[in-house]
Amino acid sequence: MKMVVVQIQFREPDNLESARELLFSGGVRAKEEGARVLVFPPYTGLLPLRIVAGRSWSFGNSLQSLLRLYGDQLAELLLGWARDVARRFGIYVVPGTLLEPGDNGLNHRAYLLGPDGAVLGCQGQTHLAEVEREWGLSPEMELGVFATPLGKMGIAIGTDVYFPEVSRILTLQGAEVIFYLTALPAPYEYWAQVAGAWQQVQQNQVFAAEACLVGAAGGRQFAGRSAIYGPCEITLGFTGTLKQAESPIKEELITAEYDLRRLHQIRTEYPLFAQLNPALYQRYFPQVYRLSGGGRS
Amino acid sequence: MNSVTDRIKEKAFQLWLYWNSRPGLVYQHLRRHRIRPSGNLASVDHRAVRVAAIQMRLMAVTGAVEYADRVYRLARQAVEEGAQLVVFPEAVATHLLGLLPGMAEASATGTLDETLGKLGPGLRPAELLTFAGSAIRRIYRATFSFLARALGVYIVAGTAMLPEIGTPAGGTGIYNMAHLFGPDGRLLGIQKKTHLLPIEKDWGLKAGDDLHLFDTHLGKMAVPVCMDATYFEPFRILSLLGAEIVALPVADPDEYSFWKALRGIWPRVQESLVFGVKACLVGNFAGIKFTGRSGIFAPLPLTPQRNGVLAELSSAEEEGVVMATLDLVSLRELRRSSRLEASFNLPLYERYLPRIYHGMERAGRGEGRRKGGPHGRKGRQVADRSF
Repeated sequence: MKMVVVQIQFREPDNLESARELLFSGGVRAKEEGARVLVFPPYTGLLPLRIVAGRSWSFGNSLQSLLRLYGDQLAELLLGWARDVARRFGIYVVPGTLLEPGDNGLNHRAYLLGPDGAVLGCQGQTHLAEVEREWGLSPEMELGVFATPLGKMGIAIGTDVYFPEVSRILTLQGAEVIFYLTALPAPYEYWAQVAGAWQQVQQNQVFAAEACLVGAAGGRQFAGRSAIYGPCEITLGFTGTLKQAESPIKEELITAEYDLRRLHQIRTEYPLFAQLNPALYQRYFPQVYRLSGGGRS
Repeated sequence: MNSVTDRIKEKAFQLWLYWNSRPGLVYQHLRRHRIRPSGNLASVDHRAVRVAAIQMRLMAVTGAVEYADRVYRLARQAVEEGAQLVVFPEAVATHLLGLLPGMAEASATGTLDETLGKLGPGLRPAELLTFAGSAIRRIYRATFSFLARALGVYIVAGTAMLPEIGTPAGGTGIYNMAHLFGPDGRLLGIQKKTHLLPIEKDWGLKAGDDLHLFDTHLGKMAVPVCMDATYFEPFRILSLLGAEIVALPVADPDEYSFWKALRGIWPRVQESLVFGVKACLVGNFAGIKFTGRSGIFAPLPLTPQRNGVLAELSSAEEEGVVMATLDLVSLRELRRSSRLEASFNLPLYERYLPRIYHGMERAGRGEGRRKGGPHGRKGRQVADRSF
């Protein structure tokens, strides 16, 4: 199976048609490449915000009040476009993320749509950096895996990429492919990115697509090199990377094949999870987290 | 059943082993080196803790004196460069299997099966370690204890695969155990390897089921072993318990690959915000090639090139010593400022972690298997959104 990852340089379109075109151009390219999965980076739901609200915006406290007014409309736009792309090209689409107003603040959520345009699953961000808490984001308490004919899929958003608990929970629930939607702060740091999705893939024996938002958005600068990863043993030169964007700051689209049979083969040949020590973990988890004196409870 | 003659021979050999593994042999020999205390621990500055990772070649030695000399030579080099903590690789007691007649020659040329076959038909590694364990333990502990005291430094004596003390002869309670010795020569603690390689399971080794923290003058230390760094869980637990310096003895039985090697301690250091000291075993032994580059690692912001590496040997096959200075004060400040704990999601962990680990344990015992095995649980599916 082939997947396409779109690295978007966040630029606010002049009209809704331009925003829609961004998603559709990805669909066109996926069709040309024969890809069945199309993945976008986070915050795509904010692309039409200036048009819809008729005013500029930035990440911060004001964003929450703005989204209480326009959140539903933004969700309708993004998911509507994504549904059209999925149907028209007959592909699975992860159209980036939405910030949805909830009871405790903003929920940062991604959706997976099937080739018939139906929403197959929704995943919220479960871990927040301090700055995200300041923006009014609220962590979600659920991690799901979505079974498709192209494999069991999970999604991790933003800061979740740096918390190994997320990828472990997804994988032990069956995930074979994880989509990491990241907006890494600029300037670009190669090793900071390796410490994220790449290493989660290695300690969980999964395929992954990391879709990075780049450029300026809402008063912030982002940089990252989108990539498609697999376990070292089934990638050329044992690099663990099937494909990676050349630039951390420019728009780019990358594509790669992922072969679930090879994944199952390496899981059989080297059963990483057979060496896990659940008796040890149960002795400490989750109560050991309380020793840190923090955590949301 | 063994004949009486065989049993007499075995008993005689055990007595011979016992005599040739007496600690006095080690002490007497090392005293001849007139080792002077280094004074490296005379003053401890948590802004500048000097640590050394030893990269040591595995080769069978035929006696306690030869073993003590090999360890001393490497430890001295590290201490002369100011080391306050010296970390040796995993399986450093394996050298002492050379005490067994024919083992040195057999292990240099044959495979593990061939080597064991020459020692006795059908002999399993666990049986061999049970038989020779007592002698290995005596020389191993005497060597590292003496050197820690004589040099006046902390030494992580790598690991030894040994029967747990109290295990009856012929039993199968063999663990791969890291040992930490204090500057007074005392054994401060033992850490059993908690995640075994498949080959170690085949050999009959058992995995430990607990993790330990050691409070030292240099900071709070932990000594998980090799494969324990493949998974985030041990480092997360140790970090939350307070570990600041994590020493990792390693013996990787594989051709060296930069990316494959990166999967161990490097990401663990980044996600758990600790210093990592990795000491690798190298060389060929019984048909197994060990490779690795010993190194000292830190969270990205604490490394000059923001690559997570403070120092690393360039060769994956040669012996060597690598040194670095750790700034624990900066580490503590980084932990405070990163506010990792504020980002933890306890309700999420409470909801999922016990269940998924319990499910694995049950699956491991063959209970409650579902279609799809331990990976079989289906995630949340949501209904289509209508607009």
